[in-house]
Amino acid sequence: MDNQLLKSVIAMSLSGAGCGLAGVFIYMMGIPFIGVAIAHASMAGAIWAQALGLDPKIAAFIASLFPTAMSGNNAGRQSASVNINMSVIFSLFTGIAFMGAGILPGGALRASGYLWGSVLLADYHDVAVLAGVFIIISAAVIIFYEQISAVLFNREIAASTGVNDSLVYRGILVMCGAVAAVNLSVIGGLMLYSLVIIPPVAAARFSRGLKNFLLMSAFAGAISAAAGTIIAFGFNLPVSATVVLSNCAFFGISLLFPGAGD
Amino acid sequence: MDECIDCAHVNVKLNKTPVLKDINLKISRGEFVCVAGRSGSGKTTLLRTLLGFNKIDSGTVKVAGCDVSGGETAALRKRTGYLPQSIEGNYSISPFTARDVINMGAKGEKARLAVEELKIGDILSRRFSTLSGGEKQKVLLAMALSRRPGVILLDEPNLNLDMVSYADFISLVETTHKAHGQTIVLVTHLTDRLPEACKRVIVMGSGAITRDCGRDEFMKTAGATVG
Repeated sequence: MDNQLLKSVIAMSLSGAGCGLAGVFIYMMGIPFIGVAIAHASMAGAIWAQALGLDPKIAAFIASLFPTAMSGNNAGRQSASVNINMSVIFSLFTGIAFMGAGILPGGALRASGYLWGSVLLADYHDVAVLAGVFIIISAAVIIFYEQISAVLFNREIAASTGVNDSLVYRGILVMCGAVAAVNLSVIGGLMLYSLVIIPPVAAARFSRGLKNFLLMSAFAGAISAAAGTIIAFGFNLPVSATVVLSNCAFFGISLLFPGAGD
Repeated sequence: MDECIDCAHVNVKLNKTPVLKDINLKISRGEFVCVAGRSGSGKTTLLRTLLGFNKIDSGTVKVAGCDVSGGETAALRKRTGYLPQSIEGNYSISPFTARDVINMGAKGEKARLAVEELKIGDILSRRFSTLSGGEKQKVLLAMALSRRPGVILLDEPNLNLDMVSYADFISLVETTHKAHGQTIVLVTHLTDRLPEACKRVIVMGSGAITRDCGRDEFMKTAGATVG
């Protein structure tokens, strides 16, 4: 395996695993639109930061916190209204991102980079950042497993057992934001959502218990991303698009098998 | 008997609308009290206020020795068990098993005893989402009981249950009350099916307590007061 392919497979596997974890949070909270809003807020942050000479990853992360902050204290308790709010926030940040793409010098080129992403441009520093974020999130899940588990089940019940549900909920969204920020340049804002949502949807059918679900979703994300990358290199196809299609194929294949059922 | 729940001149507004008006209520330790009233009368708001979920605009609320109105909710939540009216969220598509849900209350011996008490050992490894309404309520009650709370607050557990399942559930609540003597507040609109263990009924209307009487007295005039 050549160095470029090896680096890309490692980067995409980490990307898939991280998105798989974040996807479980978003899937369980029933607020898929917050995933879209976070991805587009990150993209807007990165485009404007690069034009202003700032670190795009840090800016993307900071921007990703806006949907979290704007989702309100009752977010996640009433998922329908959160999805509506997030639709508006998604529109706002898409507007900000494309405004940057239109008026900033070189903005269109930068925007297309963050829209589509490019694992080919990822260096080992990017791989280290992806690995770092994945390890930090995994550690947070292990340390705060009980609190996270309760909040993902039901915020009101979590609160009634003494969990600070607002803090844990926002912590979960910050983790989702971190995943979006570090994956933006690799997978791109448009494809990111697919990588976040498909692994948990496939894993949910086979999982019993949250630990099992998290592991299977991260594994599904990593495997399908690695497979997509190898196929893309083998047939000279766009990596991000192939990874997303690989994800979808993985989900399709999962339907052929009986789920965990009862 | 000493007071386990003590509300004095409690007023609560939600979205600037008064929903609890000058609530004065004392419930003794070990009492089993039903809160009745029409939809929108403030029953659930009262329960949520006792749990510290609602901002109290004026007045004082003390539950199980904790000053809820003073923000002492961390200690309160260790001493109370709560069953919400309905569970919002995506539990229907979640992978949580019944055991996972009970362990959100407590683990080990405490959880085992609660499971044994409610006789739900055979459903522990099943996904919560696949349980019947009655089984779900039992699992949630086991979660609440596993924490050995001094106060249990039940918000219309009859919702999504047929009458046989509801009677079965209430019978379990009465058994645990008899065995452990917890203070129980049950919000219900099934005033013709009040549990035998309930000796006192509080009727709410338009955010205020309109009647506070014994079970027998209430049963004689229930139709006229609750509707």
